[in-house]
Amino acid sequence: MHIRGTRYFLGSGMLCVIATSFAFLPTAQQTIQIGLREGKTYDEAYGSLLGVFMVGAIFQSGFSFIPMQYLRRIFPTWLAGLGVFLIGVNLLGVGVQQWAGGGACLASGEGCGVGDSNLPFGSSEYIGLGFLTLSLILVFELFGSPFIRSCSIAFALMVGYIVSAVTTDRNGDSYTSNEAIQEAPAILFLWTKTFPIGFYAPALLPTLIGYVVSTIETYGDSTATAAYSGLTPNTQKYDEAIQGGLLGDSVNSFISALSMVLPSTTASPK
Amino acid sequence: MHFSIGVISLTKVAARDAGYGCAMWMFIFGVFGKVGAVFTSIPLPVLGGVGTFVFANIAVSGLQVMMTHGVDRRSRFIISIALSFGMGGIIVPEWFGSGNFLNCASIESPATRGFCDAAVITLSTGYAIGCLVAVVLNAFLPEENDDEFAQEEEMEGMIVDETNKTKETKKATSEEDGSGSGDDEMAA
Repeated sequence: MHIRGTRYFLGSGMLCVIATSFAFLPTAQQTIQIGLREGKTYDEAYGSLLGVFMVGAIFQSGFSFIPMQYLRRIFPTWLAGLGVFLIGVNLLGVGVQQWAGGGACLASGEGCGVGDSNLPFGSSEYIGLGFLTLSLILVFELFGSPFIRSCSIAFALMVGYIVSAVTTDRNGDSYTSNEAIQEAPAILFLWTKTFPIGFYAPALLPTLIGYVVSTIETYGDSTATAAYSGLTPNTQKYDEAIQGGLLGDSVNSFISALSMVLPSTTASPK
Repeated sequence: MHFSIGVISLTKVAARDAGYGCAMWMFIFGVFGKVGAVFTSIPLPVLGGVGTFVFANIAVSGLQVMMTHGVDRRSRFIISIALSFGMGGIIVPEWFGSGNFLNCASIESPATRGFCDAAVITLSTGYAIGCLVAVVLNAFLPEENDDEFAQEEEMEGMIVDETNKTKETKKATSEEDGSGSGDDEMAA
């Protein structure tokens, strides 16, 4: 979207998945713990963070007004690629942990509680289930029509889910559980709570670092998306997409804080 | 789940209309709690089996972006140092995260502690420290004359031959020159 009267854009004009950033979660936990110890209520402690996130979002928007020629020198293409590569490697670890039963039971050493089954981390059943799903992608890639191939992930997920629902582990427990589905309300109202917005200064520095990382992520993500969307690097259109993406990211984060959730970012990061 | 680039690269769909469709579905899933609950009941190993592939795909698209314009000597140097920190921290998370290096829990002042926490969070998040190191190095390492280095790298391994050749050609040229002009004879 072009901002009238300026040469700046809001939004990259490309397909981007936006989700809550996990970069701010550790800061949030820490700040809320400190706040609770100081005698604030939980709502006040969380609300005091939202103000910090709004200020951080304004700081982040500054990046999007740096002219592309400087921005490109600060973040050359290979550097953005390096960021995406590291994010991929980071996430790969998360994926492998989930495959073997989840990060929680790796840390605790107890049963993983996948559905009703409660086997230890890395049990052969879990490994087999994950391997089946991964193999399904391969099968769809080899034998599928172009449509099935382009949806191989969704189909593999679906077939894997069905298999896991009809099979049981060595103790006869199912891998899926109906509990969550039964407990969930039929219709949710999306806005459930409003927190008092405040400002907690000590959280500002970690938040700013979080936003710098978020900017690099968004830059890397927009670069990759632009490459896949058929935009030629270092053309005007490409630059506008990146600039718009960066500004869009900060505006999104600001709206997130107004909507009472943590800052959002393009959803390649952890 | 976080699928953005991985899904685009895999499905080869980057159209905004597809995005609007997805957004509409997500909104509907969000409002109807039961639908969301179905997705949360997918067993982790099934998600992990697909996720591992998708995440590896993200890493590969990162490599692809990294190599778009090729990697010269300077960027290769920076990438190596950045990966030392970035991937090192991913492979051994206890490296900086053990609590023995920076023990934030013992710090009283909330501001210092917040700073300490921020440092530990940044150090132990692979992409954060990797990117920070790369940005800082890229900003401060002087630009090099890439052509010079490229030539030098090509010459590596056959430097002896090259120098011999250049001597020979120099001799040859000086002999040719010498036969033509009197200045060189005077100098010799």
